[in-house]
Amino acid sequence: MSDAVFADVTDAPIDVAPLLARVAASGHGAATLFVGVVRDLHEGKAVVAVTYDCHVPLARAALRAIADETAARWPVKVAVVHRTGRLAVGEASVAIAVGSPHRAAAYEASRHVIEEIKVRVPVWKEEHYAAGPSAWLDGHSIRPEASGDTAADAPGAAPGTGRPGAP
Amino acid sequence: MRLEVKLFGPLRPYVRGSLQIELPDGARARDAREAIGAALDRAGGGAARALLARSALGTDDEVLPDDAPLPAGVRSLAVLPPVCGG
Repeated sequence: MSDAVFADVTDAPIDVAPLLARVAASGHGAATLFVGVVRDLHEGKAVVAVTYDCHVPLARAALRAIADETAARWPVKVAVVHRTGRLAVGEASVAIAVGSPHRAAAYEASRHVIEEIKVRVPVWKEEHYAAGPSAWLDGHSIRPEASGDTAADAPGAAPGTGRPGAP
Repeated sequence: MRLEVKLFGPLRPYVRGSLQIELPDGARARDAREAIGAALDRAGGGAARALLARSALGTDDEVLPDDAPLPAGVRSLAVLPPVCGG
């Protein structure tokens, strides 16, 4: 991991100020902060909380890899933290700070980090509903033999790049 | 070798506690995958097999392709279902 990136997993509430401080530099004219937040509605069902399960060592490594790749592709510094445990509506589940000389790279890099997190980092969401009880959400297969499709992954499919072909 | 199998996310509800599998020395990840499927059946979690097919196997250090030999000295494997972070 280079000096330009910071990546971590935490079971404590995310404090965004230190993340922005990590990506600051005198030559930077832009800093973006993306915060993913627990929403109170999913597919028409009222949500009261979400539990984030996580394979911590592999999640930390995947976040670092994404941050490293991003800092190699854009002239940016990246700091990213993903939360674990049970979060109430309104709590931050993930925060991504990006600092850059110019805004275009900061926005692009920030978007890249969150999209990669969604398909590569071993984190799982269990939604708790107001009407009870709860459900685990489906996601994107990270099996190396998977095709990269979210729902149609099957054993024996051609090795993929790990990236979906569509959003 | 005897391995503890840790289940994550949507696989957790299928099994109470952990699964144990026994594999010969030199086994590969695909051998572990087969043994985990059989262990899920024995534990009453057979419905999890479809999820297992879409899951990656990993150690604490890396995700293992099916043809990868299990690393020497490994004590546990994680079954990682489709991810949905963020």
